[in-house]
Amino acid sequence: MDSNTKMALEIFSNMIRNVPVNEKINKDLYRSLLTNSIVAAELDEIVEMFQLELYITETEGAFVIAKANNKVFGYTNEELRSRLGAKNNKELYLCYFVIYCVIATFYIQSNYRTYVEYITSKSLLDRVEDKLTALATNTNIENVDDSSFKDMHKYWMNEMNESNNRNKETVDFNEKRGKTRLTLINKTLAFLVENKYMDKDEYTSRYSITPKFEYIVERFFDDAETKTVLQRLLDEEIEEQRGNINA
Amino acid sequence: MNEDYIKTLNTTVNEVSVRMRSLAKYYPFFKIMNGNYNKDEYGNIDAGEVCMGVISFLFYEGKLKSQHITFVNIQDYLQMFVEKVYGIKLIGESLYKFTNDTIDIIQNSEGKGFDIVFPIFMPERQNVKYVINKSSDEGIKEFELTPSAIDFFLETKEFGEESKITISLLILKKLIEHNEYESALISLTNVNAEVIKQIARVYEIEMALMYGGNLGYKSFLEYRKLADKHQAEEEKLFSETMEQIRTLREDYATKVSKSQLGEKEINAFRCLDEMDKELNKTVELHQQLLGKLVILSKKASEILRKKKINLLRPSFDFSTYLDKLGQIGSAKSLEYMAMPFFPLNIQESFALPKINEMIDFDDNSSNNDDTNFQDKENAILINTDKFNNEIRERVLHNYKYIINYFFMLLKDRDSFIMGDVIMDADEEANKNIFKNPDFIGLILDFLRLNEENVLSDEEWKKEKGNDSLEKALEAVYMDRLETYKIKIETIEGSYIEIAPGFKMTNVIIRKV
Repeated sequence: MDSNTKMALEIFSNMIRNVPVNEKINKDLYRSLLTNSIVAAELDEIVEMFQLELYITETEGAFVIAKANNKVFGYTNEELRSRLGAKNNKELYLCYFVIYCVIATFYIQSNYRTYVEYITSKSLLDRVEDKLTALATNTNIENVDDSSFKDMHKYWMNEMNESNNRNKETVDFNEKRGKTRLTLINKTLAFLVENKYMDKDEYTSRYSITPKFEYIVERFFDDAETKTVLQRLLDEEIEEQRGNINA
Repeated sequence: MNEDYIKTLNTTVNEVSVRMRSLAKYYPFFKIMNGNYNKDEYGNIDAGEVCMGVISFLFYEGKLKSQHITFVNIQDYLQMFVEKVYGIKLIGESLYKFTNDTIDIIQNSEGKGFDIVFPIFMPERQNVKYVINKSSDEGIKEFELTPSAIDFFLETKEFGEESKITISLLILKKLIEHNEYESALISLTNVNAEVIKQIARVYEIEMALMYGGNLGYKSFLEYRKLADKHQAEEEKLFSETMEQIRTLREDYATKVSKSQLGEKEINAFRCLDEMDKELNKTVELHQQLLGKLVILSKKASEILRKKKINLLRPSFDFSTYLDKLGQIGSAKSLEYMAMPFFPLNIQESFALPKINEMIDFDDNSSNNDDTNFQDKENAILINTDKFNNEIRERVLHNYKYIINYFFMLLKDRDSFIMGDVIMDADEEANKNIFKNPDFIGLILDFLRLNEENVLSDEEWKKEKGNDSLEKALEAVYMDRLETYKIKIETIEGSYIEIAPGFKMTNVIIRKV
């Protein structure tokens, strides 16, 4: 193995174990990635083989992300649920929906920000509820599936309390226990904080997004492949529904 | 209480009331802005915009030309203004009504104007009007701007943003020339504030450039143009002003030795001293601003390059996509979007010792302690030895237990046959000894040990690894302090059924 390949593998081994490769930690590796085109090319190949996506930013350094259905580093449904602390598939889809709402709060388009600087659990809760209600009431489709907005909305409204505390004045907006809407929101936010996509100001309980979050949104959603896949997913769903109706 | 804040606190309290008072002149405008015309007739027309138009008219045509402005003049002007700005042609009765409404909104409830009050800093109610009425000699009603309105009007179109530093510096120079040191010191604070504002503006422009589309690019170009124009001028003024202050200070310093200074001169000297310090700060800030501008220019070309690449590629619109999802009523594809936010899922079921070895191996360990510490903290460490250790402990414990039982049986005889013992054993012994999964292991280990003893090759024995049995025997011999050891032999052709359908060769255990 020549030294370039070795270097590329070393960077890769650090990245998949979540060890930073940036200006501060593993500085030599980071520098060689930026300056040595052979290392960069080899790393690209390795990353591609594992179906990962390599991102390099000024603030975060180099890191990799896995897309859905990754054969090596992907998750099973159960693992996903345990990561987000979701009890069932409906809660899992609600968590995804919360993440989407966070993105849509800070971004209008993948290259166009809103003026929002921070969110709180309460503001996110209201936004999620509004959007979910709108999606559930506007759709005529009656699919009985854990991922249908109608079912998600029913679960959200009927099977979860807003908070453990019924007295609105003494609600703890940081609550992370029990089957409540606030808990689901807070768990999802905590997941984003844990993975360094958001910062939480403990003093004011305000959440703001990090450069890593910005980078993922601006890169991942601007990627032509992402758009193609999302369109294909939509088409498949429509096809499936047509099939159901015809049947 | 933070002692450091006391000076700022005093300045704030002294200043706030002046600042609040100077706000008063803007107050009527924002009230007028909320004033509404009749929605059916001129719903699109904004009262604030019209008010600004009227004030401009009264200023340029009235005050500057010293003309008397009557209702009819305003009516004529408004007709033209509304047509040009909103494309609405007002005539006759509706024009009259519109003019009347406009004047009512500006003059507010029968010409009373607008009251403003701040409970602590401006407790006396201040009444602010923009337009007052006067009557001409012939008894015709005329309209005139108040000083507040003129003040407001002038403040709303200030000098260009980027020339403010130059102007503040020019004012500063003038003040110093006229020995107005106290005012000069205050005006220097303004210069500082201007530079700080410009630094903040660089960030704003950068954000606009990134996310603001064409408008952002336009504002960047405008800013760059003005900044280029003023930079050289500002730098020259800075050095001139500094020079001026230095010379003056030196003058005063020489005077000190020659004669006694009056109170006024001492004060001037103090002011110059502070100004010198302040100006140094300003120059530093100004350098910082220039640096930021250079970086911004560099970034701009990078941002534009990226934008050009993405020009033909439509960006992803989050609310449109949600609408599409709403149409199919399913959240399935959200999983695809959420996935990049998940860390990699590493299954901990590879060759574990190998992975540990790989993780622990680090050839930079000697020169890079901090990094390693962080590395190890973040890395996933897998403990593989624990499992093996537990098995070893269990086996050792069971072997000792069984060997002790054998010794107990050998207390009053020289040997026993395993098959007979099992036949006579009580339930407890059956459960703990003969149905013990390690019982068979012990017998096999024992037999192997015998063979090895025959071979009497120490190295071979070690490699075979009977250490569990040997350890157990050693421990039991030590504990019991018996004078004999035990040996095991097979009885050919004889079998014991230790479980239904499972037989083992019968053995005999002897004292040695």
